[in-house]
Amino acid sequence: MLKKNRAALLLILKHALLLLILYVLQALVFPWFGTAVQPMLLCVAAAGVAHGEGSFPGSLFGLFAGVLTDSALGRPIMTFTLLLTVLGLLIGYLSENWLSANLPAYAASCALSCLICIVVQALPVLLRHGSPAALCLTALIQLAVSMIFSLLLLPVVRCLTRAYRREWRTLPHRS
Amino acid sequence: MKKIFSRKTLVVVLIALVVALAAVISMVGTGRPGFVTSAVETVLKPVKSAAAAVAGTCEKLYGYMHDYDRLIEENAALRARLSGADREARDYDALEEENVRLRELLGLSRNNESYEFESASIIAWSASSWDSTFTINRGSANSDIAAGDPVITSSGCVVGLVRTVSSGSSVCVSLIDTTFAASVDLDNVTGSCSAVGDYSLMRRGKLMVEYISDSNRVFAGDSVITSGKGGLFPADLLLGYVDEVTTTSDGQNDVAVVTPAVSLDDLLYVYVITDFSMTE
Repeated sequence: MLKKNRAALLLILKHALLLLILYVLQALVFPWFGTAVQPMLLCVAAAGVAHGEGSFPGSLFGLFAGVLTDSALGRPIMTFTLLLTVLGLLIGYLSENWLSANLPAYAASCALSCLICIVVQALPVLLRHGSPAALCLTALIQLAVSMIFSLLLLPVVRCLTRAYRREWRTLPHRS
Repeated sequence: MKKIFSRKTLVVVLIALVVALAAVISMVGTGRPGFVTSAVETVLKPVKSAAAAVAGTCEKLYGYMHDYDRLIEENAALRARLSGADREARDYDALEEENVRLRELLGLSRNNESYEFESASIIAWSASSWDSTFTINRGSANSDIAAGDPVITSSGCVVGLVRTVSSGSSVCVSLIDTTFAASVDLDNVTGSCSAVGDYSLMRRGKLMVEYISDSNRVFAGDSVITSGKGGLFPADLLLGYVDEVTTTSDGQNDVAVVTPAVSLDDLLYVYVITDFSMTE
């Protein structure tokens, strides 16, 4: 029992460390570079963890990732808190019942999460003073950059999800 | 097949819903971002401040190593401009004295503008690719800042507006953000125009002025200053300079593309006008 508690605590700390590192990169490092388009690191990580670990861990990770995303974007803790929680839940549910645990499924989950997050941000801008062409171009570039970072994050997410599955074995083995 | 809503996932979703609802209710009721947002911003503020300090030090070191020659040239150019500015200041003093005399003759008192400022430093820029906002280290607990207060530089150039105020920090929109709007005057154009952000111009670091009564009298280099109408900004604050006059995509209206007077990339310290009054 003590060993299991220790393993659980270690796993929680690893997830928290991943969240902190991604938050620092997203909110504090990339903006200072002044690049035109920035990747949605926390959204990608939430989708990856949900895909690898299931609905409950996915929604919990999504909740905290959403809080940090709202803070990074300078918004009230609201939109992405709810959005990433629900996305984590849905992607986790799909991975428990239908999705395979392979690269295309992981990429599809990350792409879906990024796309929804980008649409949520772009819609208010389009309704104000936005030219659709410029918005579409930014959306495509942001999606592409985020997917590149999702591949870079893959080894980290895989390590975390393997550790989670080893302890809890909630997800059936699928190729 | 596993059910989508187990008890544990339901609890997590409910927590997210409660947090979101609390933020919405707080914003609708008080205009403030809410307890949860303030608490998260308070926890994250030291992290943001530390990162901003580290980034500032790294930028200074980089600048010292790579900009030495450029700084020497810039110093020489600025010295030349300063001597010209000294000459203009002397002329200005003489004109001002004449102005006072003429006003006294006409029996008018001077416009008296009094500003109350809060100084602040920028601790983070928004990570979003869809807006241009930044966070400053002043909030409701350590200043009198309120939502809607103008943000300027030490030289009186407009930087933006305060959007939301938490306890230890505030989020501001810059003048190139799509939510920014201000009533402005252009040189040689009668009547006020409207300076607004546009997404495609924001990507280029610019904004636009629309509702120009006579676009034929607008030229590149013209100053764009706040008109003071609407109560959002005091009058005579510099926004930027006209780049070009162009037509909107529907071909119906002329708009002026404006380059901000302030370089947002290099901005570290700002001033928030918490109160301004005009008496005449």
